[in-house]
Amino acid sequence: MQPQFILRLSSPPVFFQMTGKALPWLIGASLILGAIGLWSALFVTPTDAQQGEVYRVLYVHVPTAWMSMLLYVVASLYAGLHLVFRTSVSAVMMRAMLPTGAWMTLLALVTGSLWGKPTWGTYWIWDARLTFELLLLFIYLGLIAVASLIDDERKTDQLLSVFTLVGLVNIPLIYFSVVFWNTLHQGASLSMSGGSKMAPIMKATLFVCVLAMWLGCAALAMARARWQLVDRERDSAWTGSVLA
Amino acid sequence: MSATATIAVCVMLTFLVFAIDAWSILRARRAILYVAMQDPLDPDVQ
Repeated sequence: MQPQFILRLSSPPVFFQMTGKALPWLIGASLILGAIGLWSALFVTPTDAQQGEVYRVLYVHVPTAWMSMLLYVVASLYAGLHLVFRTSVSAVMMRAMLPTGAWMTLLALVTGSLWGKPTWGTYWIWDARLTFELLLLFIYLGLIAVASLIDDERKTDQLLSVFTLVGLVNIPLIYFSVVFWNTLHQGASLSMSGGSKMAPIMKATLFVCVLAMWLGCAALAMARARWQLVDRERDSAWTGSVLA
Repeated sequence: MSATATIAVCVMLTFLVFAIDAWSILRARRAILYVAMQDPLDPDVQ
Protein backbone atom coordinates (compact mmCIF):
# COMPACT_ATOMS: atom_id res chain seq x y z
CA MET A 1 0.00 0.00 0.00
CA GLN A 2 1.38 3.39 -0.99
CA PRO A 3 2.25 5.84 1.85
CA GLN A 4 0.52 8.55 -0.20
CA PHE A 5 -2.74 6.58 -0.01
CA ILE A 6 -2.48 6.28 3.80
CA LEU A 7 -1.73 10.01 4.09
CA ARG A 8 -4.73 10.78 1.89
CA LEU A 9 -6.95 8.69 4.20
CA SER A 10 -6.04 10.92 7.13
CA SER A 11 -7.79 13.79 5.36
CA PRO A 12 -11.34 14.03 6.84
CA PRO A 13 -13.23 14.61 3.53
CA VAL A 14 -11.33 11.78 1.81
CA PHE A 15 -11.97 9.47 4.77
CA PHE A 16 -15.68 10.36 4.77
CA GLN A 17 -16.01 9.79 1.04
CA MET A 18 -14.02 6.52 0.92
CA THR A 19 -15.70 4.96 3.96
CA GLY A 20 -19.07 5.96 2.48
CA LYS A 21 -18.24 3.87 -0.58
CA ALA A 22 -16.84 0.96 1.47
CA LEU A 23 -19.71 0.70 3.96
CA PRO A 24 -22.38 -0.96 1.72
CA TRP A 25 -19.82 -3.59 0.62
CA LEU A 26 -18.77 -4.30 4.21
CA ILE A 27 -22.37 -4.61 5.40
CA GLY A 28 -23.36 -6.77 2.40
CA ALA A 29 -20.36 -9.10 2.75
CA SER A 30 -20.93 -9.37 6.51
CA LEU A 31 -24.61 -10.32 6.06
CA ILE A 32 -23.88 -12.89 3.34
CA LEU A 33 -20.99 -14.49 5.25
CA GLY A 34 -23.01 -14.35 8.48
CA ALA A 35 -25.90 -16.23 6.82
CA ILE A 36 -23.51 -18.86 5.36
CA GLY A 37 -21.70 -19.22 8.69
CA LEU A 38 -24.92 -19.56 10.67
CA TRP A 39 -26.36 -22.11 8.23
CA SER A 40 -23.16 -24.16 8.33
CA ALA A 41 -22.84 -23.87 12.12
CA LEU A 42 -26.41 -25.07 12.72
CA PHE A 43 -27.01 -27.57 9.91
CA VAL A 44 -23.71 -28.67 8.29
CA THR A 45 -21.12 -29.15 11.02
CA PRO A 46 -21.30 -32.47 12.90
CA THR A 47 -22.20 -32.84 16.58
CA ASP A 48 -19.24 -32.75 18.95
CA ALA A 49 -18.29 -36.16 20.37
CA GLN A 50 -17.80 -34.85 23.93
CA GLN A 51 -20.08 -31.83 24.33
CA GLY A 52 -22.94 -32.76 22.05
CA GLU A 53 -25.02 -30.03 20.38
CA VAL A 54 -24.20 -27.26 22.87
CA TYR A 55 -20.68 -26.89 21.43
CA ARG A 56 -22.30 -24.88 18.57
CA VAL A 57 -22.19 -21.85 20.89
CA LEU A 58 -18.51 -21.81 19.84
CA TYR A 59 -19.46 -20.25 16.47
CA VAL A 60 -20.79 -17.19 18.29
CA HIS A 61 -18.58 -17.15 21.38
CA VAL A 62 -15.15 -17.45 19.72
CA PRO A 63 -15.72 -14.71 17.08
CA THR A 64 -17.06 -12.28 19.71
CA ALA A 65 -14.17 -13.03 22.08
CA TRP A 66 -11.65 -12.49 19.25
CA MET A 67 -13.38 -9.27 18.21
CA SER A 68 -13.31 -7.97 21.80
CA MET A 69 -9.50 -8.25 21.74
CA LEU A 70 -8.94 -7.29 18.10
CA LEU A 71 -11.02 -4.12 18.36
CA TYR A 72 -8.98 -3.09 21.38
CA VAL A 73 -5.71 -3.72 19.50
CA VAL A 74 -6.99 -1.65 16.53
CA ALA A 75 -8.12 1.13 18.91
CA SER A 76 -4.61 1.07 20.43
CA LEU A 77 -3.04 1.34 16.96
CA TYR A 78 -5.15 4.44 16.28
CA ALA A 79 -4.26 5.75 19.78
CA GLY A 80 -0.56 5.42 18.91
CA LEU A 81 -1.14 7.08 15.54
CA HIS A 82 -3.03 9.88 17.24
CA LEU A 83 -0.24 10.56 19.73
CA VAL A 84 2.22 10.87 16.82
CA PHE A 85 0.20 12.59 14.09
CA ARG A 86 -2.69 14.24 16.01
CA THR A 87 -5.18 13.77 13.17
CA SER A 88 -8.95 13.92 13.63
CA VAL A 89 -9.40 10.66 11.72
CA SER A 90 -7.15 8.69 14.10
CA ALA A 91 -9.00 10.19 17.10
CA VAL A 92 -12.48 9.33 15.83
CA MET A 93 -11.42 5.84 14.73
CA MET A 94 -9.98 5.18 18.21
CA ARG A 95 -13.19 6.43 19.83
CA ALA A 96 -15.45 4.55 17.39
CA MET A 97 -13.90 1.16 18.26
CA LEU A 98 -14.74 1.46 21.96
CA PRO A 99 -18.57 0.95 22.08
CA THR A 100 -18.48 -1.93 19.57
CA GLY A 101 -15.56 -3.47 21.49
CA ALA A 102 -17.49 -3.19 24.76
CA TRP A 103 -20.53 -4.87 23.19
CA MET A 104 -18.37 -7.70 21.83
CA THR A 105 -16.75 -8.20 25.26
CA LEU A 106 -20.15 -8.33 26.96
CA LEU A 107 -21.38 -10.78 24.32
CA ALA A 108 -18.29 -12.98 24.77
CA LEU A 109 -18.84 -13.04 28.55
CA VAL A 110 -22.58 -13.80 28.30
CA THR A 111 -22.29 -16.49 25.59
CA GLY A 112 -19.32 -18.01 27.43
CA SER A 113 -21.35 -18.05 30.62
CA LEU A 114 -24.29 -19.77 28.87
CA TRP A 115 -21.87 -22.31 27.41
CA GLY A 116 -20.16 -22.77 30.80
CA LYS A 117 -23.27 -23.96 32.63
CA PRO A 118 -23.82 -27.23 30.66
CA THR A 119 -20.09 -27.95 30.18
CA TRP A 120 -18.47 -26.74 33.44
CA GLY A 121 -21.54 -26.86 35.68
CA THR A 122 -21.39 -23.14 36.48
CA TYR A 123 -22.18 -19.83 34.78
CA TRP A 124 -19.17 -18.07 36.28
CA ILE A 125 -15.86 -18.84 37.94
CA TRP A 126 -12.97 -16.53 38.79
CA ASP A 127 -10.79 -18.24 36.22
CA ALA A 128 -7.83 -16.22 34.81
CA ARG A 129 -9.26 -15.91 31.28
CA LEU A 130 -12.75 -14.95 32.44
CA THR A 131 -11.41 -12.46 34.98
CA PHE A 132 -9.15 -10.70 32.45
CA GLU A 133 -12.00 -10.60 29.91
CA LEU A 134 -14.22 -9.00 32.57
CA LEU A 135 -11.39 -6.53 33.23
CA LEU A 136 -11.39 -5.73 29.49
CA LEU A 137 -15.09 -4.85 29.72
CA PHE A 138 -14.35 -2.48 32.62
CA ILE A 139 -11.48 -0.92 30.64
CA TYR A 140 -13.80 -0.34 27.66
CA LEU A 141 -16.48 1.18 29.90
CA GLY A 142 -13.90 3.37 31.65
CA LEU A 143 -12.57 4.65 28.31
CA ILE A 144 -16.11 5.35 27.05
CA ALA A 145 -16.78 7.28 30.29
CA VAL A 146 -13.56 9.31 29.89
CA ALA A 147 -14.48 10.05 26.25
CA SER A 148 -17.87 11.44 27.26
CA LEU A 149 -17.00 13.20 30.52
CA ILE A 150 -14.54 15.83 29.33
CA ASP A 151 -15.76 18.64 27.06
CA ASP A 152 -12.46 19.61 25.45
CA GLU A 153 -12.21 17.13 22.56
CA ARG A 154 -8.50 17.68 21.82
CA LYS A 155 -7.45 17.16 25.44
CA THR A 156 -9.74 14.13 25.74
CA ASP A 157 -8.24 12.60 22.60
CA GLN A 158 -4.74 12.75 24.07
CA LEU A 159 -5.82 11.44 27.47
CA LEU A 160 -7.86 8.69 25.83
CA SER A 161 -4.91 7.68 23.62
CA VAL A 162 -2.62 7.29 26.64
CA PHE A 163 -5.24 5.37 28.67
CA THR A 164 -6.01 3.11 25.70
CA LEU A 165 -2.34 2.26 25.26
CA VAL A 166 -1.98 1.52 29.00
CA GLY A 167 -4.97 -0.84 28.84
CA LEU A 168 -3.35 -2.74 25.98
CA VAL A 169 -1.33 -4.71 28.55
CA ASN A 170 -4.53 -6.65 29.34
CA ILE A 171 -4.78 -8.17 25.83
CA PRO A 172 -1.74 -10.52 26.02
CA LEU A 173 -2.88 -11.42 29.55
CA ILE A 174 -6.24 -12.57 28.14
CA TYR A 175 -4.70 -14.38 25.18
CA PHE A 176 -1.98 -16.20 27.12
CA SER A 177 -3.95 -16.71 30.35
CA VAL A 178 -4.66 -20.32 29.40
CA VAL A 179 -0.90 -20.88 28.99
CA PHE A 180 0.35 -18.96 32.04
CA TRP A 181 -2.17 -20.34 34.54
CA ASN A 182 -4.08 -23.56 35.12
CA THR A 183 -7.53 -22.55 33.96
CA LEU A 184 -10.92 -24.18 33.67
CA HIS A 185 -11.21 -22.44 30.30
CA GLN A 186 -9.86 -24.68 27.57
CA GLY A 187 -6.65 -23.89 25.70
CA ALA A 188 -6.62 -22.49 22.16
CA SER A 189 -8.40 -24.74 19.66
CA LEU A 190 -6.65 -22.99 16.79
CA SER A 191 -2.99 -22.10 16.91
CA MET A 192 -0.76 -20.35 14.41
CA SER A 193 2.25 -22.52 15.29
CA GLY A 194 0.84 -26.01 15.75
CA GLY A 195 -1.84 -28.22 14.29
CA SER A 196 -5.52 -27.75 14.98
CA LYS A 197 -7.65 -30.03 17.13
CA MET A 198 -10.76 -29.15 15.12
CA ALA A 199 -12.31 -30.95 12.17
CA PRO A 200 -11.76 -29.08 8.86
CA ILE A 201 -15.49 -28.30 8.37
CA MET A 202 -15.72 -26.89 11.91
CA LYS A 203 -12.60 -24.81 11.35
CA ALA A 204 -13.87 -23.47 8.00
CA THR A 205 -17.24 -22.56 9.54
CA LEU A 206 -15.53 -20.81 12.45
CA PHE A 207 -13.40 -18.77 10.02
CA VAL A 208 -16.51 -17.72 8.06
CA CYS A 209 -18.23 -16.65 11.30
CA VAL A 210 -15.12 -14.74 12.44
CA LEU A 211 -14.84 -12.99 9.07
CA ALA A 212 -18.54 -12.07 9.08
CA MET A 213 -18.26 -10.62 12.57
CA TRP A 214 -15.05 -8.74 11.74
CA LEU A 215 -16.67 -7.15 8.68
CA GLY A 216 -19.77 -6.29 10.73
CA CYS A 217 -17.71 -4.72 13.52
CA ALA A 218 -15.58 -2.82 10.98
CA ALA A 219 -18.75 -1.46 9.35
CA LEU A 220 -20.19 -0.34 12.71
CA ALA A 221 -16.96 1.33 13.83
CA MET A 222 -16.53 3.01 10.45
CA ALA A 223 -20.11 4.30 10.40
CA ARG A 224 -19.73 5.68 13.92
CA ALA A 225 -16.36 7.30 13.07
CA ARG A 226 -17.81 9.03 9.97
CA TRP A 227 -20.50 10.85 11.93
CA GLN A 228 -18.20 11.69 14.85
CA LEU A 229 -15.90 13.23 12.26
CA VAL A 230 -18.72 15.30 10.76
CA ASP A 231 -19.73 16.41 14.26
CA ARG A 232 -16.27 17.66 15.19
CA GLU A 233 -15.59 19.21 11.78
CA ARG A 234 -18.99 20.91 11.47
CA ASP A 235 -17.38 24.31 10.85
CA SER A 236 -15.18 23.03 8.01
CA ALA A 237 -16.12 23.74 4.42
CA TRP A 238 -16.31 20.06 3.40
CA THR A 239 -19.12 19.24 5.86
CA GLY A 240 -21.38 21.82 4.19
CA SER A 241 -22.55 19.42 1.51
CA VAL A 242 -22.94 16.56 4.04
CA LEU A 243 -25.07 18.58 6.47
CA ALA A 244 -27.05 20.43 3.81
CA MET B 1 -31.70 -24.93 29.62
CA SER B 2 -31.51 -27.33 26.68
CA ALA B 3 -28.68 -27.17 24.13
CA THR B 4 -31.04 -25.86 21.42
CA ALA B 5 -32.34 -23.10 23.70
CA THR B 6 -28.78 -22.12 24.69
CA ILE B 7 -27.69 -21.85 21.05
CA ALA B 8 -30.84 -19.93 20.11
CA VAL B 9 -30.35 -17.44 22.96
CA CYS B 10 -26.69 -16.89 21.99
CA VAL B 11 -27.54 -16.30 18.29
CA MET B 12 -30.41 -13.94 19.15
CA LEU B 13 -28.26 -11.99 21.61
CA THR B 14 -25.65 -11.51 18.87
CA PHE B 15 -28.23 -10.13 16.44
CA LEU B 16 -29.67 -7.94 19.21
CA VAL B 17 -26.26 -6.47 20.07
CA PHE B 18 -25.53 -5.62 16.42
CA ALA B 19 -28.99 -4.09 16.07
CA ILE B 20 -28.60 -1.95 19.22
CA ASP B 21 -25.14 -0.76 18.14
CA ALA B 22 -26.38 0.11 14.64
CA TRP B 23 -29.44 1.87 16.09
CA SER B 24 -27.23 3.96 18.42
CA ILE B 25 -25.15 5.08 15.41
CA LEU B 26 -28.27 6.05 13.43
CA ARG B 27 -29.61 7.93 16.45
CA ALA B 28 -26.31 9.84 16.85
CA ARG B 29 -26.34 10.64 13.13
CA ARG B 30 -29.88 11.97 13.36
CA ALA B 31 -28.95 14.14 16.36
CA ILE B 32 -25.91 15.55 14.51
CA LEU B 33 -28.03 16.40 11.47
CA TYR B 34 -30.71 18.04 13.65
CA VAL B 35 -28.11 20.11 15.51
CA ALA B 36 -26.72 21.20 12.15
CA MET B 37 -30.19 22.30 11.09
CA GLN B 38 -30.63 23.96 14.51
CA ASP B 39 -34.08 22.58 14.96
CA PRO B 40 -35.02 23.46 18.56
CA LEU B 41 -38.13 21.28 18.47
CA ASP B 42 -36.32 17.95 18.18
CA PRO B 43 -36.25 16.20 21.57
CA ASP B 44 -32.93 14.48 20.78
CA VAL B 45 -31.15 17.80 20.60
CA GLN B 46 -32.41 19.12 23.94
